[in-house]
Amino acid sequence: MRFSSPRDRILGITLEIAYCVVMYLALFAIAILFNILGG
Amino acid sequence: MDAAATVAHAGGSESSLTSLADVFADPKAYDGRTLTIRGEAIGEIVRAQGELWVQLNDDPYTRKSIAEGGAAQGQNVSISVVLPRQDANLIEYFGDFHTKGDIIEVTGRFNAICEEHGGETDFHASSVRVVSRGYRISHPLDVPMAVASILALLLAGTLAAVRRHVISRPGFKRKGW
Amino acid sequence: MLLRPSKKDYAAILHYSGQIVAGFGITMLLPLATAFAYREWNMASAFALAMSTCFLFWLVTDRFFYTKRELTWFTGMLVVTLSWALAVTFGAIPFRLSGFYASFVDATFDVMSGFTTTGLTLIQDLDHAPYSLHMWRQGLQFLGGQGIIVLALTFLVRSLRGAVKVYVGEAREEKLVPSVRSTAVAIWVVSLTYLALGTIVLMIINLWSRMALDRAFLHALWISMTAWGTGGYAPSSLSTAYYHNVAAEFVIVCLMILGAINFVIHQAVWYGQRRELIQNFELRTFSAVVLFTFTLTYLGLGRSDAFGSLASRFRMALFHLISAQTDTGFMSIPSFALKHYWGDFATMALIIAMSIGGLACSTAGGIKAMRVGLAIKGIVLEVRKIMSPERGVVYEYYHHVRQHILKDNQVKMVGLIALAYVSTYLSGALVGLVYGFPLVDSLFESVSATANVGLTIGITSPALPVFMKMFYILQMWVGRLEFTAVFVLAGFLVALARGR
Repeated sequence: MRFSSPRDRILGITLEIAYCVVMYLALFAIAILFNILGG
Repeated sequence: MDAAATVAHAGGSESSLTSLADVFADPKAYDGRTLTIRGEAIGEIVRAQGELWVQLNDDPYTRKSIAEGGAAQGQNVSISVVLPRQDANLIEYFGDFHTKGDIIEVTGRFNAICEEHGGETDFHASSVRVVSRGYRISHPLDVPMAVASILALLLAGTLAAVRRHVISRPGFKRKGW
Repeated sequence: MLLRPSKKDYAAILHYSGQIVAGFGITMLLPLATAFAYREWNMASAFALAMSTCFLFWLVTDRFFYTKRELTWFTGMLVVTLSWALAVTFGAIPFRLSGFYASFVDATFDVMSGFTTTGLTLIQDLDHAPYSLHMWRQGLQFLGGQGIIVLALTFLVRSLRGAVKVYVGEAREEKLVPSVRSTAVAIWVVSLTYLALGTIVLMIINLWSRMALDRAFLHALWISMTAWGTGGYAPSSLSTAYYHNVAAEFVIVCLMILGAINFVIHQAVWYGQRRELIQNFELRTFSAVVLFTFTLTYLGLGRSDAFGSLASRFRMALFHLISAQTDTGFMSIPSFALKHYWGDFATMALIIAMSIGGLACSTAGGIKAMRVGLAIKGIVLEVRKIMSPERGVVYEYYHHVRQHILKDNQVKMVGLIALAYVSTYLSGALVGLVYGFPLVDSLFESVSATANVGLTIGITSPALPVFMKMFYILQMWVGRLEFTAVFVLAGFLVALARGR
């Protein structure tokens, strides 16, 4: 089994949560877009 | 407060009790109207969005929950009530498996989609009244089931021990125990 | 000529199933401990009885059907189906004995819904249910997210090669790391880490909301279990509306998304291959699908004018779309609000999201982003072949930890399984129509069951006709096993019927 350091894991978790945040912001951007366009 | 508003308010709060099941069956008919509902306070008071919330259930279990040995009569009918700050500590008992909650009567406005609270379905209570106090529920022990479960555990445990003994005998050929 | 298991194969099937059932029995220790902690003595008896049944079954199969015989792909799949059937039956014992289910069928419905991480429920008076019952319900969805096979691999199976076949039978086609046993460990590490993180953060939020210490912890644990497991069971009939908390919803959204991500990706990212988050073809597909279905949902809500402000429209669209896309099933609004206010367009958007689902090899259900992506690539490949010179050789590639070439057999299987899902969605809709439910509602509930979602538009209730309950149970199970194991079972039954 490849070795995984705690640093690797913490970085990994942080990035995955960052993915969720980016997704959230992207969806928010869509909402704002529709707000402006009146959809 | 002008006369028309007073009459409307009085008419709303003195109207007969509305059942939550009726409201949920036809929410558009009740949306935004002032109603009086009655039910059991459940869980606890939750502080969120700058408000004090309590779950209110109005279903057959309000009379006798399954926790008290009542019969199965369908699913819960529940709504979130926004309590007036000063009335929140009127409620002492909150329903769950161990407790029968206070039966409370609240008058206020039903909102199918409340813009003040992020689109939630809620009930803004303007007045709260405790109709009957709750209490701790006692659960009598089901003796036959307890005995059966102890016997079953003993049986399983004994057989497992026998199995362990049989397997660990030297020279034993593993082929079932 | 169809294969039939020999007598020795039957023994192997029973032997391995017995071990898995024993592992399942061990998991009942947690709700048993909860029952003791809260002095729910009758529930303690119920769990003790159920556990004993599991262990007695194991002891009998170990005594009479012990074998060192290896499993084949075929018998491995039969182990999966048998273990499922047994787990669902034994797991229903505490439910039935609790008094909170009207019948044994209802009890098995909830175990199936729990273990497939669906989340539709037939429980009565949920709000007065014992804490140990909640622990079992919520726990089933956390365990179900791992899969019954990971349980087996963790506890008991000695034959690793046989374990691989059982693992594949449950639709986990990837091996995360070279050894199957360490694959199971890896899945546990990821799941327990996010469970712990979710519990801690939600507990802080609950304490801030003035919940009592023990309830703040339990609610946080329970919601984290079913958010990560993308199950959707909750300890209150108000579901996630109970917390009235946008911050909590954000945490739950993160848990749902993370739970819907392929375990292979988690492994890669946690072991230093962080670029995988950007390069992975399936995750890219999933991201695109979410953007698409959210747009549809948001548009639909605008069309039906359900929400008056950007804030409420975005909050509710986001939460319920992610809940639908990841096939979780949490609802911050009651079913009647969905039914009467969202409108057909937004509802259809949710149906599309549910039917596609999350990533393969995760806790989510549905057709899966992997298949959608591969299907699209398959179409692109066909078009390119037609447009290329006759003697040219055309390939399509995709990145999934490594570069892969798209193979014809893959495309074929993707198409067939997707077709099987869609057929099941439509069959369930048909059943709903036969029983008098409207079209949109019937389709919604059918997709919710098959894709193991758990969002409900109001059809699922204890008063539902028995046939419909059983049909949903079948749909949940078939959707969870992604059809292959079910086809194998059907083939086996046909072979039995035909005789030697």
